[in-house]
Amino acid sequence: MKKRWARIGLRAGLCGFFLLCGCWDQHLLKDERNVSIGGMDAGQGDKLVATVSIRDITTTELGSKDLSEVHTVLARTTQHARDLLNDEVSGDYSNSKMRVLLLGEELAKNHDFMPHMDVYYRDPKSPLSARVAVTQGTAKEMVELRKIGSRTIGLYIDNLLKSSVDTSSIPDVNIQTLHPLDRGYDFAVPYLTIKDSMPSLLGTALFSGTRMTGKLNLDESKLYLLLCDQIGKTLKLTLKSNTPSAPDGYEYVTVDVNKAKRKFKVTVTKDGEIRARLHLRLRVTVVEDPSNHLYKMAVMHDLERHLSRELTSNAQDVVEKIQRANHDGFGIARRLMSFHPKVWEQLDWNKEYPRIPFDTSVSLQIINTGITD
Amino acid sequence: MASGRGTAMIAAKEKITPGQFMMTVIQAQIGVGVLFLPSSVQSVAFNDAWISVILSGVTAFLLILVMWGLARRFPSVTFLEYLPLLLGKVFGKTVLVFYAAFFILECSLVLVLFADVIKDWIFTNTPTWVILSLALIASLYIAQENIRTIARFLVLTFVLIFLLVIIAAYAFRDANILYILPINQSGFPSILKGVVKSMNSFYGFEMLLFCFPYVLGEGKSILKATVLANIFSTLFYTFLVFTCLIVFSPEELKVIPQPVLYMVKALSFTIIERADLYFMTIWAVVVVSTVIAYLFMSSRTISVLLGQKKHRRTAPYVALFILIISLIPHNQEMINVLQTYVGILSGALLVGFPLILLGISYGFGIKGKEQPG
Repeated sequence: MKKRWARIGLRAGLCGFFLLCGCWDQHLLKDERNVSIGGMDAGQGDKLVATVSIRDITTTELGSKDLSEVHTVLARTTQHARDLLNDEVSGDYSNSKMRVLLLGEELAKNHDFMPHMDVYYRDPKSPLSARVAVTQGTAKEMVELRKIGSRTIGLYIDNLLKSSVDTSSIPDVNIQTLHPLDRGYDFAVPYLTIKDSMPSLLGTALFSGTRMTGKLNLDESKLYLLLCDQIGKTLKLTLKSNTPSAPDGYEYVTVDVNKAKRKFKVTVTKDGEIRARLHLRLRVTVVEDPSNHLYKMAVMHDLERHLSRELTSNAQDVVEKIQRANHDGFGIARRLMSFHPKVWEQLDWNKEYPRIPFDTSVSLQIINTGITD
Repeated sequence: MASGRGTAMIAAKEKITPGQFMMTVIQAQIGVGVLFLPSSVQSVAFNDAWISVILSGVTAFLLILVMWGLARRFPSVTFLEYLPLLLGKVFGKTVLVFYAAFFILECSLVLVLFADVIKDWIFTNTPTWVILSLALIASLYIAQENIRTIARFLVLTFVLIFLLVIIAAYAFRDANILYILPINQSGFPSILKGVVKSMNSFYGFEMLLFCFPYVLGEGKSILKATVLANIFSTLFYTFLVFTCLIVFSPEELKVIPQPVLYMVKALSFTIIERADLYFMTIWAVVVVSTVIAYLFMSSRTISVLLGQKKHRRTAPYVALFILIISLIPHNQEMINVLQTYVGILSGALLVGFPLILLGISYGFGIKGKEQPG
């Protein structure tokens, strides 16, 4: 009998453990003020200007309404900024639900922004899947737009970036993929601007190491992603057609890339010269072509040849541009480390990279023309 | 002399099948190493860490052969009972003290690492003793029972290991196979160092010494079960280490102690975010399984030392003792010291000693009685 009571007591005690849940590490959503978008700018000296937008939802009988509360602080480090913001904001400041992190162009170009990122990699609750983008001008201006239509700026930019990643206009990067330690390739991030007090995409900002050194417009950016073998869900290219002196409105053709196959080879010759060969094979669907009637095979092949030539020359321009920016987006350094470790050890990479001769070519094949020929 | 012979007859209801035994060994082997193995082996063997892990599996296989060879000569009694036969009563008991110390320390080490991760990743403010006691109480509940109950529980939780594989496999999305090239870059000595480092994650097959007489079937089928278990664990560990190596660059792995969690942290599914929390929830069960196995082995050893027939009574005291030991290390340096002690003890008791015992057994022709029936 005594034993039985002891057992019951023990089990009751064990049930008591469930009450421990709320003792130490409880974070209630109602107490937290969640940041939806954060921006970093270079401040005076080596200071950091941090701007955040906190999303609030107020529910009335008429439905719920989103509010965006913007705070800006001048801080020494990112964590210092968090502490200052926490003092300024009512409630517990939390950035674990942040969707987008913006970097001001000045910060990205002339400062090393990586020290400011450290806390994101160290904190277990940090939003590693937040998207990263560079803005023309300052990130502060962008965050201070507060709301676009009925949506808060954080959600708006997040959706803007997401849909553009799907259509392969910009690279898909988040805080995690930015982790820059010795990867053997450089990262590129979306580049935003404010147009008519609306955020809009300009293209891609190219980084060399941790500094922004160049940019690509949206067309170049698409081609760049094709060459990097990083296309999203779809990719459409609008190019000049092969009908010279066509009347207005008839001069362009749009193709949808169904399949892209990239061949990329880095070779080192006997006398230590590095060469890169980049060949891209595209299978496309013509989705818009007012000038051609593609039921004739000859016309179609003409168009294929023409588009291949045009893409090849565009691709060569893109490669030249990224080489000038000293941006190794294809990961040539990684290939050298992996396949030619001895060559790599003796290399002054930053000097060598812009001089590497690229053999770039694109070939295109039309496999479908929609429901008309 | 006859003190240990009392348990020679093992009741049929305490017997387990070779299949159950296999899963018991797997569960004892796979534990905290899931999170720590990749970066700890990588720190010495660099991008060849996966080779080290495979070689550790081979080493474990050889040790299993030795232990099996030993256990086969005493088919009806456990290690605890035949050790005094081989070494004499006094010396045999002295050695058993070391074994008990090893099991207790290994169990404490597992718990220390467990609490460390839980504190770093989820429950920052929860006191360590709470986390440790919760894990220990749950383990004690099962570890007090006989082998059959333990084996059944471990079979039940075995399925969870596959969930870990599925979550980790998702990270292949961000993988870059180039990171592991060139193979054998670090050289053979470094790979061997990696083997030594990773061995600790493979211990657990010493369950063979404790369970041999309890397993139904012939000696050969028991060997087969143990070897299969070892192959499974080796493949599992190799998979994890390999995944981490191709997802993170070498420089990143240096600063990330738990790369598996880090890797899945940024994954975001449609309705699930923070996959690391799910991973850890499952991992906690896997760790508890290891703790159960070690708690069982240590309390069995202590019971024999104290002349107790059953380990049910001793287990709570052993658990309390383990709790106290695991509360001592409060910084990384002390954990490293503990790790070194466990490493030395395991090298002596699981690698060196079984070989000596096997030699004595053959040299002096000491054998146990044939299993009745």
